[in-house]
Amino acid sequence: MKQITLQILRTGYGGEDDRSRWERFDVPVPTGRSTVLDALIWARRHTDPTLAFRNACRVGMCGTCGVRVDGRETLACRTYLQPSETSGSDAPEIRIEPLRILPIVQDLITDRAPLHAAIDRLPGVSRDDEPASTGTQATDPDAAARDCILCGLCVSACSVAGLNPGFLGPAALVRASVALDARGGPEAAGVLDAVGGSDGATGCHTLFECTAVCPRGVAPTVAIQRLKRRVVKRQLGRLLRTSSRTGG
Amino acid sequence: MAELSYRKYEAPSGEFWLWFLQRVTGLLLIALVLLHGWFNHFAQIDAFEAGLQDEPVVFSVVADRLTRVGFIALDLALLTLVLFHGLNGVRTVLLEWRPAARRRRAVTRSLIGIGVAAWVVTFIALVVLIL
Repeated sequence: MKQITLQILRTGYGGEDDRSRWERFDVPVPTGRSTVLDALIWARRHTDPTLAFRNACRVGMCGTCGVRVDGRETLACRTYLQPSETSGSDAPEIRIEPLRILPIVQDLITDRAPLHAAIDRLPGVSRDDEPASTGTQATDPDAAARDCILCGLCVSACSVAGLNPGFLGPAALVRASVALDARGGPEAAGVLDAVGGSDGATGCHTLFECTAVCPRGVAPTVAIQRLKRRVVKRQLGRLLRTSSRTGG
Repeated sequence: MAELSYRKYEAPSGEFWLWFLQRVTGLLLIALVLLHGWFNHFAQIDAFEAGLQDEPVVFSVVADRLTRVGFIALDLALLTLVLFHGLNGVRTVLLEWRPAARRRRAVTRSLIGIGVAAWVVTFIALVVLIL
């Protein structure tokens, strides 16, 4: 049977030496459609029952199995293995790590609290009142943005989020963009004031790292660019109103 | 649904204006640098080719230009925009480095100091050249 070697970064076991360490798992790959998640499940079932990772839907809908495979953020359930007939040290190897930036709970499980806290910082934007998914992807940025499943891959991939712990991050900014599409008036003004600084939309360097890894075809970079445009309009409008009041 | 609150967090508006002016000064610099390059390197080519001057760029022509208000304003605008755009860019880079980000105010004040000092020194040099 074809085989693959998983190098998994393991963290969170306490003791005197509480550093992360790489651990090797040799896993058989029965079909050409086997995923990284299948391999992780096999490793936990047959090799080490303490191996910690999170999964739920297995079809890329829930976003809970986000990890980094060979340095790139992906959903384990949507990443197919490419095994070979060789085994042992000659077997192809992949490196699996937890997502960056989010705190590690254990092994591949990360704490999503900072992701949710970033959304909670935005006035009038809630994790619970997202519009229903349209199933539309990529062609319409507004519709695609509503398909965000809060998997956190974009935040892990974002260089700015890695450098600036206060940065709201692509996921929260996509939520802000969706909220602005749905609402107006004082709520919209509050959102725009919140995303206008270097911790918000204008802190984004437009590197497209978030867009490259999004498993749902959402383009956070596009949503953030649209936010920037709205912030500029609001701030210039506010400046003009202030100067006309002062002048009058 | 979670209870909504409309004044939870507001980004400091100064940061927005620094970001916005960085883009505006970038655009203005493109135009002014092209103008500067044209006047300093190409505007005298016709006179040189017609045999009216020995070199493509002659000091006396440059010095004469600096007696005109329009050119002085152009150079001062270029100086101001270059200093703002360059130092604001340095600030953005520095503030993404955590030790510097913890000293945001000190970094900003230091760069303002460098900018003002550089502007004054260059302005004095320009005045000396004109006089």
